[in-house]
Amino acid sequence: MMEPQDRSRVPNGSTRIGDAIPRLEDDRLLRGEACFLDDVGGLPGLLHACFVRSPHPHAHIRRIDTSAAVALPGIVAVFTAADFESDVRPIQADMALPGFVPTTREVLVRDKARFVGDGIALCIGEDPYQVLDAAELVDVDFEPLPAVAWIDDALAEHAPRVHDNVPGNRVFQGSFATPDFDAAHAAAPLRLSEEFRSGRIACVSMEPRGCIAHYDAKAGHLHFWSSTQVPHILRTCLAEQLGLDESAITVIVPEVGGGFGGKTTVYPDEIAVAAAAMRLGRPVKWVQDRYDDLLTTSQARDHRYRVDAGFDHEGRLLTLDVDVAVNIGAYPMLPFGSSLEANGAPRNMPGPYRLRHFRYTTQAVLSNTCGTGAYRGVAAPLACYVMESIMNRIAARLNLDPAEIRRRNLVNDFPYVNVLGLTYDEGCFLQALERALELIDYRSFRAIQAAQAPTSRIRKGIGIAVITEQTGMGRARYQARGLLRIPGHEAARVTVKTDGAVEVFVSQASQGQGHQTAFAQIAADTLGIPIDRVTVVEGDTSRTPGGTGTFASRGMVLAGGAVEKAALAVKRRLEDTGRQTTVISEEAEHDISGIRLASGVHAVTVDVDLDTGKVTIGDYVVIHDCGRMINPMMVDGQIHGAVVQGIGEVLQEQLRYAQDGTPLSVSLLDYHLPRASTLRRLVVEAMHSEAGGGTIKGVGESGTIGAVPAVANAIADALAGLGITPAQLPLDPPTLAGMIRQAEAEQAQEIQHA
Amino acid sequence: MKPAPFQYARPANAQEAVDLLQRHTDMARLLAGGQSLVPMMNFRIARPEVLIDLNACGDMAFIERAGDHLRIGAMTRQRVVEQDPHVREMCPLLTLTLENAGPVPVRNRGTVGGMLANCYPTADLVCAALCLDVQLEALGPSGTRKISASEFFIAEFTTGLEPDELLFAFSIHCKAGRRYAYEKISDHAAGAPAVAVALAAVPPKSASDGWTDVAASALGFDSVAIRLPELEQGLSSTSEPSAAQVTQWLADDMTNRGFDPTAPDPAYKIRAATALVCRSLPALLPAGRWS
Repeated sequence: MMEPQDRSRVPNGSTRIGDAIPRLEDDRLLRGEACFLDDVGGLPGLLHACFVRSPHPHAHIRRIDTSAAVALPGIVAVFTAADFESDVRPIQADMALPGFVPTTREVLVRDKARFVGDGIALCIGEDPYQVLDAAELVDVDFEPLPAVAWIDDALAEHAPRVHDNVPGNRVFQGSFATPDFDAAHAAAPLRLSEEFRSGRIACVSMEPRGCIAHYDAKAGHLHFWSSTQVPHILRTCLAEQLGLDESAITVIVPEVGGGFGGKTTVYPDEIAVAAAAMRLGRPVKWVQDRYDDLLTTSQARDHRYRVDAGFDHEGRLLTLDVDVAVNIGAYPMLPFGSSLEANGAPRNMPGPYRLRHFRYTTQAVLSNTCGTGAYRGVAAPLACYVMESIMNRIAARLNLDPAEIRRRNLVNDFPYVNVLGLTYDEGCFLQALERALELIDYRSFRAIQAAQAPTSRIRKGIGIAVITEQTGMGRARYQARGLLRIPGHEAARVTVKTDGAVEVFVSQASQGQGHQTAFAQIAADTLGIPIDRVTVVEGDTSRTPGGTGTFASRGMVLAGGAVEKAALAVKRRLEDTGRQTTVISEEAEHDISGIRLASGVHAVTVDVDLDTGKVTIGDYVVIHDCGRMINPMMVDGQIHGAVVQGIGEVLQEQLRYAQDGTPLSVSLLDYHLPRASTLRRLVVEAMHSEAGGGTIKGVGESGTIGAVPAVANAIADALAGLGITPAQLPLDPPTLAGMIRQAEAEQAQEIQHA
Repeated sequence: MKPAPFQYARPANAQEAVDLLQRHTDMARLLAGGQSLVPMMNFRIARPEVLIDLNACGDMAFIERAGDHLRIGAMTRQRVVEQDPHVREMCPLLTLTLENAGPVPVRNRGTVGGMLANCYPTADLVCAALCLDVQLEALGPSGTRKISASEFFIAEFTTGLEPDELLFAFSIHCKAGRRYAYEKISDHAAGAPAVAVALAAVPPKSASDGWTDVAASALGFDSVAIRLPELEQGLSSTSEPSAAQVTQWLADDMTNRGFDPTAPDPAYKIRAATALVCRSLPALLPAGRWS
C-alpha cells in the first residue's frame, strides 16, 4: 500500500497534466522509508520458506527423502509434489487460440525436472537461515537425462523432448501471409537474406521476487503479499490453482523495487507458498536472493530470425519473408503462455515502414532452460533490430545513406493500415527522423568519420533506428492474441471526502514508474484542485477496482484514462449537487479497442576499439512520440532507463547456458549490467503530430526498443569499412574483437594474394 | 544468500589470531574486509566452521616507509592505501591499481591483505604485487616467514600460506626511476578485469636503448595473475616496440604457460593485452622523448 507522505516540494495551487513536477514518492524511496515486501511486518508466527531447486537441467526424480531436513530444529514442514496432489491444480499456461500444444506443470516437480532451478521441495521453518540449511539436507535421487539448451539443438531431429507430449519441442506455431506472397516476392527486383540471433536476457529488478501468504482459516480468506506487477491477474491465478473463489483472496502489493516484466509472470513459487500457508495455518514468507532470481525469474528474448527481403533499385522494401524461432525455456509461464514473444516478434516487424507483402512463420521452442516471459519491449526490440539491420543492408547494397533509405520507406500518410491490419491513426516518423539527424549533427559526423585515418584503431560509427511501439493494449487486443488470463481493461475509483480530500483507487500497481504522481496529476487536473489534496491508493485488490496490471506501456493509456473518467464523473456530480455534504465516489473502467502507436527515432554515435572490441557510446539523441505527456520529467526518466537497458542488451548483457543446460550466469559477476557511466550524454525530445497532441500513448518501453537497433547499427557502421556486418547480439568485446580479428586476417591474406 | 552455520571469533591482535588459527586450522577462515569471503559464504561456496574476524587487529593496519621500502599491513583498507601520499609518491602502481579495483564502497571495506591472500583470479592487486616483486610476511606459530610474490600466488584461491599462517604485511622495494602503468578491460571502469596488464620499467635513455628494470604481469592469462618474462625481455631490448612484436612476446608467454595462443580466448586476450601495452608505453616515456 502506498500513501504519499511528504509533499513539501509540490507547489501550491492546481497541478496540471503536463507539469514536470517532482515525483511525490521519491522522498520516502530515497530516504529508505518505503515498505518493500521484505519489510512487511506485524504477522505473528511468521514462517520462512526456501525452495530446493534442481541442480540438473533434465532429470527424472526417482525418490525424494526429506527426513533429515524435517528433523532439523526449527523446521516445521518440507513439502514435495505428493503433498500438494489433492489441493493444488497443475499449471496450464494455455491460450484460447489454436497453434499450441498444451503442457502442464506441477508447482513442485513430481516426475522430472526440466531446468536447473526447477522447484522440487519447499522447506518451511521458524528462521530464514534454518530453511536454507534444511534445503541442503533434502536428498533427491536423480536420473539425469540428455538435455537441450540451445535453439538449434532443441529443434534438431531426434532432440530430447522437454515435455513428452510436445513433438519436436515446438510448443507453439503460428503463421501469416498476404495474398499471393510468393508471386510478389519472386517479382521483387532485388533480394537479400540474413540470419539474426540474439542472446538471452535477465530482467534484474533491483528487488528480487518475494511473497507472503497468510490464510485466515476462520474467515476462509487468503491474504497474499507479493512483489508483483499484476495484482489482479495474480489473484485470478491463485484462485484457479488453489481452487478458491477470487473473493476469498486479497492480493496486497507493497512498494515494488522494479519489475521490467519479470514480475508479470505468476510463478509456481507463489502458488506453493500459498498452499503451504493454508496447510500450516501460519503466515509463510519467501524472499528470493539474486542467485535464485537469475536461475528462476522469467527470462527473455533468445530469438532466431531467418529473413528474406525483396526490394527495388530505389531501396523500397517490397516483400518480407521471415521465419522466427523463440527459445521459451522449459515451461510456458502464466499468464502469457507460450506465444508472447513468438507472436509478438513478427507482428512488430512492419513497424514504421511501408510494407505490403509479408509472410511469416513463427514458433516457440521448448528447452531445458528457465522459462521466459516479458521483458521491457517484449519482442519489439529484436523485431526492430532485424528491420533496422535490413534497412542498413539494403542501403549498403544500393550505396545509399542509411538515413535516405529510411526516408524512402517510412509511412508518412495517415491514417495508415499496416500489412497486418493495424491502423496507425497518425504519426510523425519522418519529421522525428529529420530532427534526430539535426540534433546529432549527422552530416558533420559523416564528415568526421570520412576523415578518420585508415590506420586508426578506434573507429567511429553512427546508428539510427526508427521504431514503433504498440502501447495501451486493451481487452480486444489480448483476446485477439488468445491470452485468456489478460482482462485488458483498467479501472479507477475517485472518492471525494467531505473535507475535500480526494482518494484515487487504481487497479494497477507501481514498480517505480511514479504512479502516485502521475495519477494524482490527472485527478488534480480534471478536478481543478491542488495535487496535495489527492492521495493515490494502489496495490490492494480488496480496496481497488479490478484491472490488468502494469506492463506493456499501458498504465497511462488505460489506468490513466480510467482515473480521468472517474474524476470527470465526480466533477459532474459535484457540479450537480453544489455544496458537498456527503462522500462522493465514482468508479470507471477504461478500455480501448485498438492500440496507441507510440514511436521514436534514436541516433547514436560510438567508438569501437578494434583491438579490445570495446564500444564507447558517444552522443545519443532520442526523439520520441508518446503523444500528450502527463509529466514530462517522468517521461524523460522512462526514456533514460529504457535506453540504458537497451544499450546493455547490445553491449554486454547475456544469460549464458552451456550446451548441456548448465546456467553460466548465476550472479551479477557473470551477468554484466550497464552502469550509469555507460551513457555520458543523452538528449531526449518529445514530438507529436498535430493530430496526436491530445492522445496519451505509452512510453515505458520505446527507449529500449529504439536503443537495441540504434546501438547495434552504430557498431555495424563503425565496422563497415572492415567488411563486417554483425547479425547477432550481444556484441560484447570478445565477440567483436573476434569478428575484427577474423576480418583483418582475411584482409591481410587478400593483400598477400593481390 | 545466507551462510551455513559457523562459530565466530574476534581476536584483538595478530598473535591471538594465529593462536586461534593454530587451534582450528583447516576448519577456519580469516575475515578481513569481507568483500569476497562474505559473498562466498552467502553462496555457501565457502563454509568455514570458525570465522576469525581480523577487524579488531589494529596491529595489522599500517603503512610504513623505510628508505626506498614501503611496508603495508594486511588489514589496511584498500582505500587508505590508494589515498596515501607516500604510496602515491614511492609506488604509484599501487595507487593506479587500487583506483579501479572495485567500486569505492568495496574499497572502503576491502583490505589489501584480503585481496592478496584470497587470490581471486581477477584480483587487480595480485597482478600489481607480482609485477612489483613484493615480499609477503606470513605470521605463524613459529614466527614470521618471508615469501616472494612468485612463490606466494600459486593459483586461484591458492597461496603459499600454510593453514596456520596469516598474511601479516607485505613490503615493496621501490626502485628509483621506474615508471608504472596499470590498464585493464572490464565491463565498467571499476569492474573485474577480463584482461589487465601491470608494467613497471625505467624508460630508455635514448631511442636505441631498451627499457631497464622491466617487470610486467597480466591478469586473465591464467587462473591467477602471471609474470610475462618474454614481454619483459622484449621491452628490455626495444624502446618503442611494434604491436606485432608485443603480440609475439605475449603469445610466447601464453605458450610457455601451456596455452594455445591461437585458440579464441587466448587470442582475444593477447590482442587486448597488446593494445593495453602499446597504449601504455608512450605515457611512460619521458616528456619530449629523446629530442
